Amino acid sequence: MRPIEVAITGIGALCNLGNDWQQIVASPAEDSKNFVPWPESSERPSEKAWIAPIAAPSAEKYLPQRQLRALDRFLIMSVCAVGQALEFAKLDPSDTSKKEELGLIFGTSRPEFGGFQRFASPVLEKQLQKINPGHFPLLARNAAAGQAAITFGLKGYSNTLAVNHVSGIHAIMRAADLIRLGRCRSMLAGGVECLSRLSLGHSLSYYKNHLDQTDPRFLGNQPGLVVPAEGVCVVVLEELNHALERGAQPLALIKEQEFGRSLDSGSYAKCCQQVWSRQETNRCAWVSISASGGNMPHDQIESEALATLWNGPDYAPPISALKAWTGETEAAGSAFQVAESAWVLAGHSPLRPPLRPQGSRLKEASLQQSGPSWSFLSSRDPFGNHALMTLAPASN
Amino acid sequence: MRSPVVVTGMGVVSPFGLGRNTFWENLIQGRSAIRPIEVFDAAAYKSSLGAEIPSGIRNNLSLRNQAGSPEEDATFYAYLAAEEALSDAGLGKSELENLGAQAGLMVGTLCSSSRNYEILGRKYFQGDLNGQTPVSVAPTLVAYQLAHLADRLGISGPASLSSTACASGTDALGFALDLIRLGRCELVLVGGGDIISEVIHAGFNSVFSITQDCLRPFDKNRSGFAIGEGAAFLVFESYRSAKARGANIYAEVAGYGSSNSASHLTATSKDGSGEARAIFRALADADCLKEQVDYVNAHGTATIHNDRSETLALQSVFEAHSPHLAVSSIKSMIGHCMGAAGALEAVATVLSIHQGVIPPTINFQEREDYCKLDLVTNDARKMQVRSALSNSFGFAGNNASILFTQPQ
Repeated sequence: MRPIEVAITGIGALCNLGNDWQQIVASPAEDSKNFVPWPESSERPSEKAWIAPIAAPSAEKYLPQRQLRALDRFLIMSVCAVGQALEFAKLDPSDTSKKEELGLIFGTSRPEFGGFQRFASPVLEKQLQKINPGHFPLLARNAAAGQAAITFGLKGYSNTLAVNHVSGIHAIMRAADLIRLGRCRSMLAGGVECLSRLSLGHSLSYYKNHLDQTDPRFLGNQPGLVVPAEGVCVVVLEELNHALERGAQPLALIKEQEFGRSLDSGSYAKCCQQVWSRQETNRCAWVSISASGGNMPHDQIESEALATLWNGPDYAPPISALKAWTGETEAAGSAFQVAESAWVLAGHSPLRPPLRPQGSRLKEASLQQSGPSWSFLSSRDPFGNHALMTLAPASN
Repeated sequence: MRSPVVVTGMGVVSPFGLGRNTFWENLIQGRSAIRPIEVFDAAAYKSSLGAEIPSGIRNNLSLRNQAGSPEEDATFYAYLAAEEALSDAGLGKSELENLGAQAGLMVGTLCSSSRNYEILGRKYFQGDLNGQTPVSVAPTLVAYQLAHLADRLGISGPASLSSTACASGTDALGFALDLIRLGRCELVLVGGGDIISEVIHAGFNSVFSITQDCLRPFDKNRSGFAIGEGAAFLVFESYRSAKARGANIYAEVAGYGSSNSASHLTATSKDGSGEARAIFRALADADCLKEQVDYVNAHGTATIHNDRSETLALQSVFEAHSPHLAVSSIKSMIGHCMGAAGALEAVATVLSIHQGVIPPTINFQEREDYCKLDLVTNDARKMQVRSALSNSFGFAGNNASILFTQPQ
């Protein structure tokens, strides 16, 4: 029996570059530094520090005014991205047969900090009469997936994964496996992250040496700029036959996927080589890395490991490091890697020009390669967790 | 035909103390571990009840060193349970190293690290951070538990963490099952640790879910639950691998199902349809007839919403078999261990099959009129259990069910 192929057929996203995927891809590259100064209301690491928030999402299409007033922004962002992804894939949430089956998996890193800030301050300050029970569910990391499920009636498989920056791609991998196992034929999956005053306070230590740098730096060992950011990115995954039967247009196919742990560049290089060696081609059209520009130890492991893959004299793929423009969107960032790679394999222009590293073993290359072209995604977090994925063009 | 997945090891740290045997012996004796909370001052809340890990374990420096001195209690308990599970399965560090990427780790937790961000929050609300977090950064993140366990135990294969509120543990079990079925791993250490945090206690107090006397799941006069803490891990392994190394097999992991009720962020589905969907999917995944299921280890939180929807869900799935379906909730004894509940209850479910004994729902007095289930109340019951289901339902509509059967 042939293994089930999993296709990506829709994208929904919000980040500092725009409030839906079309806005994001159309955002002019010259506006690349779409960052705003670190708010004065929060403790600032320096005058030079930036953040990358989302402009107020327009969610009237999906949620009534009453709910818009009551719901946390984190939930509203998630609902918007899921709604957009369904529309992109032309999946009608009011179709009862689909609704019964469609499931949703989110990955997230530290969204509960916002909910914690709202619910917990009277608890910690021992002003128990001020506790608002309505804010209590915001402490649950799965609240975003739950609210989206309520809004669109998604009653299929449901999960929320929390593995820092790789959570978004973990969610996509888990959803793809549910389809491969025949548990369902379509899923929504992605990552979500939301800024809050408490998360910014936490970032003071988390990204300590990187908040007051001037520019992102990649593929080296000098500290670069990290911009704390928020975002949400959701993709629609479908069994390829299911997508074709209903006339959907797949953007790309998910081929190899692997997640695990690697604490040094040697062991990560081995994982990268194993994943890449299982491909049907040695041509890679597009490499997407998770580095945010800070050149932190986990970024350095990533660049050293990848350098062992394409170090021949005649070929090196272009490298996308989207976080240089979106900021460090953590869990959402790894889902953005999947979405952008699928978009490029479908023949569209990348969201931003690929990296042009100077003096690196990873060289610049043209996007126009002959023969089949694949995409290779590498995602890492500061705790040693990694995720690797390859995508193929849907025509493959 | 897919290769079966089996349980070859289990470890527990519970409010009864250290070890799986301590846990099981107290459960079948019907003892309660519910008492006033000591770890923080709970006097100002409507209820100050909880089921804490005994202070002799919590404050044991030798055990903490053994666990690699984790900066977070849920991770500490999780390590102890994981170590027992691996030892029970006959797996040492060298065996795990030989398995390499074929050995995975899956964690389910909700409140792990929450005491650390309580410390962080307290400083922050006082405007007293001064660019520094008062605790190390890593243990303020829930993924700390996963990283600490993987590094300390030498697991380098697939590792992930599920956080679906009170369904976290069972969703992690389902994730582990699928990794083995897909051939991504030969074995997965799966479970999780969780703790009582003041903020979560305050939250459940604010929504009137915490009892002021005792837990009475499925009783007409139920009054809510108390939060418990603990950890449990199971070794899920391909039958092929277990057989090859002559491992002891406790049970087969036959099926898993999940759903979202898609109805309310905090309440269960009114008619039990969301919960029923997860149960139905678990049975279908296992290709199991409903008449073959002898026991359900219920989510059984002793709240009106849960008990009603779970009862209706079970009755709608099992129909005429409902009066023959033995049902109990161990939360009546150890409280609601949040993200670790699913793993702890899975261990109890597997032991029910293995030992032929069902632990009771204690404190039970009066049945609801609508309940047609065979409730196992107040005393353990000896009976052969061929197949048993463990249910977990969480905030945000997450429902998860896992089915274990006697090994073939």
